[in-house]
Amino acid sequence: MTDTPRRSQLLTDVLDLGHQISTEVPSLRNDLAEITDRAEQPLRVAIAGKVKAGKSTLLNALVGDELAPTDAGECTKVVTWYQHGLVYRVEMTTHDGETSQLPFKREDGAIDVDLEGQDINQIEKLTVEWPVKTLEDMTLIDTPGIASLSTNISARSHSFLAPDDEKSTPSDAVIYLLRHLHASDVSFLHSFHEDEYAQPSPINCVAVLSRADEVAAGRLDAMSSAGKIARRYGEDARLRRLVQTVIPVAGLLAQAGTGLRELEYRRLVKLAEAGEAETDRLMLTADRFAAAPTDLGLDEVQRRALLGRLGLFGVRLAVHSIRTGDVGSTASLATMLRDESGIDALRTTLLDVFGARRDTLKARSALLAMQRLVAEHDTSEALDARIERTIAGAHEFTELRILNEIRAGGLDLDPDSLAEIERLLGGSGTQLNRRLGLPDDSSPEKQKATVLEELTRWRERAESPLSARPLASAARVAVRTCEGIFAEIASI
Amino acid sequence: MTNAQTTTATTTTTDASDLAPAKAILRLADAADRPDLNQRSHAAANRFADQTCTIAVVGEFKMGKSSMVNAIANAPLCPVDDDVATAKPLEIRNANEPMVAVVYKLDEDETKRRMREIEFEQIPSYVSEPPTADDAENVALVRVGLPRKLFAGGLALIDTPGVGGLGSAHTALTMSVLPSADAVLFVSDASQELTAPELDFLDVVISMCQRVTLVMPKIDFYPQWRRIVDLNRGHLERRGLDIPIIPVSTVLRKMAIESNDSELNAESGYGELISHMRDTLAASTRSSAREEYASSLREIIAELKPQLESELAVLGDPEESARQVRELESQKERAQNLRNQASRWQQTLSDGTTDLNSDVEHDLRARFREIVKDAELAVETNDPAKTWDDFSAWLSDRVNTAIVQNYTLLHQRSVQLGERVSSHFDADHRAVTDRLEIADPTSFRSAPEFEDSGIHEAKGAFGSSFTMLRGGMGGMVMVGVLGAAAPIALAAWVAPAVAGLVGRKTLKEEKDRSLLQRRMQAKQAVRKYTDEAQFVASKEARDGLRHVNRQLRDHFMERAEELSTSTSESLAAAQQALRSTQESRDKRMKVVQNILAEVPKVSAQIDAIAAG
Repeated sequence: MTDTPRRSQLLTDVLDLGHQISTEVPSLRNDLAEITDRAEQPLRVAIAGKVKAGKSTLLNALVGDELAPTDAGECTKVVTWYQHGLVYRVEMTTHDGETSQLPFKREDGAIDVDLEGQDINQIEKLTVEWPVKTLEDMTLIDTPGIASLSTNISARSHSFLAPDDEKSTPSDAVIYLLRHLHASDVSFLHSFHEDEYAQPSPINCVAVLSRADEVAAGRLDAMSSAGKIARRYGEDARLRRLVQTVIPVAGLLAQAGTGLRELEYRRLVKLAEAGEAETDRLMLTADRFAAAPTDLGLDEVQRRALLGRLGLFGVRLAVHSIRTGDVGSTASLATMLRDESGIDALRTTLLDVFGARRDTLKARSALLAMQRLVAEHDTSEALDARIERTIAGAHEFTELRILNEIRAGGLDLDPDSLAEIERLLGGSGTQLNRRLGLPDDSSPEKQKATVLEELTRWRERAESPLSARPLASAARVAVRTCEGIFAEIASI
Repeated sequence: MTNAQTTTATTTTTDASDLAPAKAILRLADAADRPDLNQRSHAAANRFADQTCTIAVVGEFKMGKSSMVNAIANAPLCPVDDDVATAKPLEIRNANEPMVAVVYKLDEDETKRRMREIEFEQIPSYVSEPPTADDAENVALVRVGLPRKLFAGGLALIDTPGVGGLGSAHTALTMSVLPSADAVLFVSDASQELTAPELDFLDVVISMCQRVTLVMPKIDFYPQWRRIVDLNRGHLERRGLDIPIIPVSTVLRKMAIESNDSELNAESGYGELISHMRDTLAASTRSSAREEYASSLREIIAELKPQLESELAVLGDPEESARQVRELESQKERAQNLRNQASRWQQTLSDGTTDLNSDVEHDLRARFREIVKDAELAVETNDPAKTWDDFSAWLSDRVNTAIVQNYTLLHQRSVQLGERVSSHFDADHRAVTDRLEIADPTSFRSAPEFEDSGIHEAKGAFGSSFTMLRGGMGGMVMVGVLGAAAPIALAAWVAPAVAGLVGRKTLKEEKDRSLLQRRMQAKQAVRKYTDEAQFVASKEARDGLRHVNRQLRDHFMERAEELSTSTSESLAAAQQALRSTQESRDKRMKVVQNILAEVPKVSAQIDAIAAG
């Protein structure tokens, strides 16, 4: 899993195109600068989902710090951007476009912003700047829940993620949180994918089966059960066309795993070392754990704190793991919790798929924005043509389109071949070995052999008169991808 | 296929004192020579003895409904799984021996639902999503009989498929259960407060069944459950809903049963839930059943008493007889008028049916027009090739919703019609309106499935003329620029590939042209589908209405017959008295006097029943 700080050729071309247009049509200079500036900023990932899906918890887990406030009731009411900054600061933007800095304090970890009496309906967004490394390559956007009882909140989320007007979406990629899949989830996801050549597309969206620890009502095998459900959703044809993949994540576990304290570990050990009957009696229900009298040497406040941090499932899992000797230190417990939570699988997917695709996505966003800008201003057809040529000529876009088509079920192929072509076209990451389905440390000889094998196979399909038209076209793209890979290996 | 008898046992909530007036009425009816009233009193007593409070368990899916039903019944009946959801309603009622049967959907020409006994192990093959049993498609619900004290007390439970989820067709199935339910347990777990879709669904539930309780399971797992309960109470209050909330823990209930620990049972909340079901829900059903029973008995007395009294009057004073006979003749005429085709209640019923018919039809048409309008707008603003799957899912969802809402209207208005007709009769006829059987809206769903309408065959495979024909509904196949038939889904990305060959301008025109064509085809498909669905739905609605009309007519016709018999008998008795000898008159007078002397006592007994 390597980060790709080097800007891709495509993005460079697109940015050059932007500069060219702005020299030719000076009136568009400011707007274009905005577009190209954005393309140089970190990837914007919005976190969306129904009310109480665990969006803020997941955001905290991804940041690795408790920034967003979480609560049993509905709590995120304003779209909040968390981005990297050199100093700690919170800024408010109103619908009128005015910005002002707001005072804030941190309470129990979370940031508590003082809105200074501002009507929240007037606020377009809050921007939190935080000097934390995890935000360097990714700006995270927390959104209010959909299907919220406060319809205003729902509307605010909708207008942010799926703007009605023809502007490109403010975010580059979306993590959509589902608890269990609802019809309203699907219709929402669909409204998000609204632009011309990414519609409806899995290229910029992953679904997260959130609060996965609650799936099995706290049984120890909850995560594997959640995994099964996520796999079934992932195979659902309707969802496949909307999201890249479905990953189960237990946000609370991840959050606990990220900031686990020595003190908390010692308290858990106390629980694990006590008699099994006594601990199990306590862990039976959340109420008992929080308040039942016990002589374990943990008072109610301490137990309540543990429960708040790990959840009942987290406590059970931690105690079980300490008991069986699977973990023996704060660090190993933290690692276990993170592993179990699925947060790392999500991060890997984000970096592998979106990270590698980031430049393509940014180039795409920029091109889309340029195309609309040019169309709005009635410039020469030549400009329009140049943008369209860039769009049509970029192999990266072609790959994305074919990936979409595969997801849409437009290809009549056996499942193995489908998985193969998806992988080849960069469906699970654009690094060479990932495209070829090889281990990370494969030798160039092995790579060469594999790519030649793939090349032959897809060329046969591309040229066979028996291949249906969609298959033949997809195969031709695969052939071109193989040729590109071959050239890349040869150049090393 | 064997037709299993209804093996569910009668409940034992009635005691001797409840049946005493019915027995007394048998003697009265005998004396008055009215076997028809005899039968009626018998039927009323049986109905009263059979009364059950049917409680439907509804809510969004994955809320823990099935485990809750299992925990109440104390038996693993409903399959519980982290992932798999319930597909069919499952009903549990009292029986002397454990038994389970599938109940089939009502066929067009059937009046009684067919049942077939199955094994307990077969339950999941009907109830779990997706059902695997061969005849699952025709099964309306699975009925389980269990020897349980709770159910013997006059309770039945129905577990319903969860609402929401990808296959929201379940909503119709759940709705079909509501009209026959006496009370509803609305389930929403303690993980979060009620959401907007849940409250919308709650509104629909309340419009069909007023007695609703909010049950919140999984309180063992969520430390904050008390907050959620408070938040929910606030949401309900803001909507002006006065609904009791009962938080429960199925985990604790299971342990309580295993260890026979009543304290744990109380902590689980199930103690409260069950006593609420028994003492509040079942009790109020029982009290309305009592009222219904008492009112049937009063009706019978009201017919018997005047008949016997006029006979007595004639017997005691032969001079009176002539006047009596005249009086009775005019009464007889009135009663006969009620039997007449042209009587006013018949008029009300037939006018009401016509009105209802056209209102329901109009409602359906308006809803479908709205759908078609929205659908065409969607087609206009999107490329059907790219959005077809979601679009078709959306469309069939809208169509299903429209059908269910139309059904709700049919249901409410039918009940009102029954009430209007009954106003022509003196007595209270709640019995018939309460029990109106209105066709189940799931049968409406015989409408063609839009999603399977050919678009899938057309995709992927070669777009041959064969698939075009088979496409029927969809027919979404287009002829590409290069002359070959290509599935539309391709057009979007085939186009750039041929850009070099055709030239940009031509390509753009071609793209526009084929988009236009696709939209036209999509619109045709929409209209064809909605026409078909509307046709089927309106036929079903008409059939349902005809069924309602027949039930009302039969019920009131029977009442009219009885009234007529009653006056004829009185008349005959009066005439008989005129003709008979003094001796036999005296004898008869004694009998009638004795019998009439019982009436106040019987009336008091009936009042006692009504009072509970």
